Amino acid sequence: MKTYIKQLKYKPLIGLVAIGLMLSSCGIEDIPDPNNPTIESVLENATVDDLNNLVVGTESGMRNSLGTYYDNVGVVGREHYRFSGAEPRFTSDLLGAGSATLDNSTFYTSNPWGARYRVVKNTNILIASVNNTELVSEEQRQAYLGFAKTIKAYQLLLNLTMTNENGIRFDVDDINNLGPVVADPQEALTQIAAMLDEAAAHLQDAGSTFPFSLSQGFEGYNTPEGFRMFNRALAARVAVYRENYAEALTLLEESFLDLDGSFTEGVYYVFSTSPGDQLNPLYYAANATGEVRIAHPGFVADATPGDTRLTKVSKRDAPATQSNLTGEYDVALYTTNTDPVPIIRNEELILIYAEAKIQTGDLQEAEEALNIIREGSGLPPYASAVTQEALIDEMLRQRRYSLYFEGHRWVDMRRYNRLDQLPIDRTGDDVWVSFPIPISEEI
Amino acid sequence: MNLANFDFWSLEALNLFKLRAAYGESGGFPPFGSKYTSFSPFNIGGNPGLIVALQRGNENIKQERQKELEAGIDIALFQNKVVFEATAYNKTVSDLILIQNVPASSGFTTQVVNGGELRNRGIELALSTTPFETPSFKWDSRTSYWINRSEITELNVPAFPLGAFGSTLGTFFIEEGKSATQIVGIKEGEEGPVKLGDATPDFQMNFHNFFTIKQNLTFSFLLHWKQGGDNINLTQLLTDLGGTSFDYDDDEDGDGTTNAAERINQLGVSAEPFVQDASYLRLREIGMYYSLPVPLLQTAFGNTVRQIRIGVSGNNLFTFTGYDSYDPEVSNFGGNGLSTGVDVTPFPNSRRYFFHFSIGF
Repeated sequence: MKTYIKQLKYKPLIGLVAIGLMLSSCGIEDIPDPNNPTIESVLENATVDDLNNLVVGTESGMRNSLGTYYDNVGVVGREHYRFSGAEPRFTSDLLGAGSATLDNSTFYTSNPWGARYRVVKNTNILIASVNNTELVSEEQRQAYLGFAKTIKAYQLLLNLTMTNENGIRFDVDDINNLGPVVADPQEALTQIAAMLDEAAAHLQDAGSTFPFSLSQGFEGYNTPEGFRMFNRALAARVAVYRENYAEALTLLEESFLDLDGSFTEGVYYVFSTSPGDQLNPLYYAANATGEVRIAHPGFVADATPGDTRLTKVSKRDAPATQSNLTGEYDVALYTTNTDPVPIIRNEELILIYAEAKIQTGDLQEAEEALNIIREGSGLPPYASAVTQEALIDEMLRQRRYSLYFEGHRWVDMRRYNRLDQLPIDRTGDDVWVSFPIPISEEI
Repeated sequence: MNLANFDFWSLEALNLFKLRAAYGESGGFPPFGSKYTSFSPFNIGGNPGLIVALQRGNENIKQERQKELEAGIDIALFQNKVVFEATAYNKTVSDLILIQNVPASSGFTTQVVNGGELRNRGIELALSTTPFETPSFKWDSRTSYWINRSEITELNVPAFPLGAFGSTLGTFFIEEGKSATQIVGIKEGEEGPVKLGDATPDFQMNFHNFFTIKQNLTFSFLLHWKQGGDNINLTQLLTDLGGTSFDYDDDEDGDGTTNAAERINQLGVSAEPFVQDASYLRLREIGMYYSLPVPLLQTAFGNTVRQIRIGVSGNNLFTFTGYDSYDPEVSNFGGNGLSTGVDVTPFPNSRRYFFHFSIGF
């Protein structure tokens, strides 16, 4: 009887100790993010659906901070003024008022830079995932790679446009070990061009349809063949930036350039009011107050009478003034908050064609191309000197009006070393050559 | 430990002499999701999509540890007519949880890290007295005084700006060996941002008084004095730019350039004009109440109504300050402690008046 009681007492105790030893201490289980998919989840054996989510996210992310980007290049390029009731630096820092300079820790520097690299990161994940999955066919793999590298190159080009000789990073795949900043703009452009070429090669092997769908903005360009034309159009833009004019003409042949086609044909960022989508950040209602984009007075003053491109601005009921700057015209490129914004379109390609022809000495053909632009804009044919110099002036002038508020004026004046020809509106203002690299890069 | 309760205590007037000390530790959790590197949903054209989130996950993130040691003394004289309390504390937070900016070319903007150690030291003094007490009139008063100094004693990540709008306009800056609330910005003649101020006040004081007249009428007020402590005043800049600041056309130094123009000219050159002393003395509360005498209530209502009290009070009735905006007590980014005092055309604290009427059954 005695032993029986003893057994009862210590046996459960031994059991508990044994269980305790086996369990050791209680630890907190590592659980994956319960709210969102993690990056690791797509890096191995991603399905077509996983990859397609990345494609759509990439396209969507291209629109982030677009408003700031266009304000940066538009204001510095003296295309428009950005007045804001709450943000004075659009009229001070961007225009170099007094001794103001561009700052490396302010939103106009860091936000567009970060937004573009966020998309670059997404394309890098897409590339890594598609190279590490058995669940797609070879053609599909080529399609994803062609898409990812084209968009990546375009995003890097936009950042390089801002920082220019301050450079950009290319090798950003390893977040703990970021590659060097490539500070020579020619070298950076060469790498971007190479990336576009790689992408074009992928697209050539990608079959006849994409395994993913793109938005309406890519209508007509959402097959490997069509997307490749978009890719070649971007490459032509990069080629003229690199002053490789003969190459630009070759690239244009493979792009969607159509000398007789609609100026607006091309690839666009699209916007909508659907949940989770974005609105066009470049739209402000006419005659708005507080937050407005005012056309630089020079745009109207320098225009040839009868130029239909003057409809890109609209006269305000009352002039807008801020910080000793005044303008009577609103930027009126977009009339609703869901209007698409061009990434690249036929009118630019015709102008690239004209530019490349001027630079390769085919002035006759260049003049004809410029006349297409002139006639399409309600102007009589070009009637001045047919010299390379005069035609460059004319080409830059047509680019100014045709590509108004599309982020080109500043870049054009910079690559032709004409920034000193941009108007200075207030004593002490500056025309910046480039934006600094954001402080977060720690260089 | 109340020494006045011991036998050896012979000083009659001093009825309380207490020494106290306390030590405590607590943990602070990182924000939920700090561990994960995830995707955010991003749609276009009706298709669902994913893009990398702005925050880079940190698998090694752990709790921060807060340790506080405080010691104090309480002294009461003349049967608690005069009570003096003093406390000094030293609070350290190790493995401090910080949201760090990471190189944006990595695709991410921020990361939650255990970034270092924050130390807060301070002193709190309070004196409660009853200077006057007769059956028909009693005056209670409590005066308190406190100061706090913080320092980032250790920082394992590169120094980084926090809150506010970049160094052209002045920003908070977390830097080892410096105050956690220092404000830095660009300054003419200096290479890079330099320290321009600190949001922490030199000291603060409260002065709370309570008068009872004839047992039924009470009157009280609370004054709050904040001495020092800078704000980033961007309201003034915005009103200058809009041409609506109160001294827009004034020219204090008589050099022919108006005050507003002088300040605007500093924009992009120096952030100094925006970092401003936000000292103030504010009448935080004032009130007067009257309780109807009990005999009167009994005559009128018998035993059904125990108490009737009427009164008026007001909050935030006046503020003395040299600060040039709506309200020196302002925070554009809420009260998160690490970037308060950023002034961007806020709604000022409201001034409120109350009428009180209460019946107790």
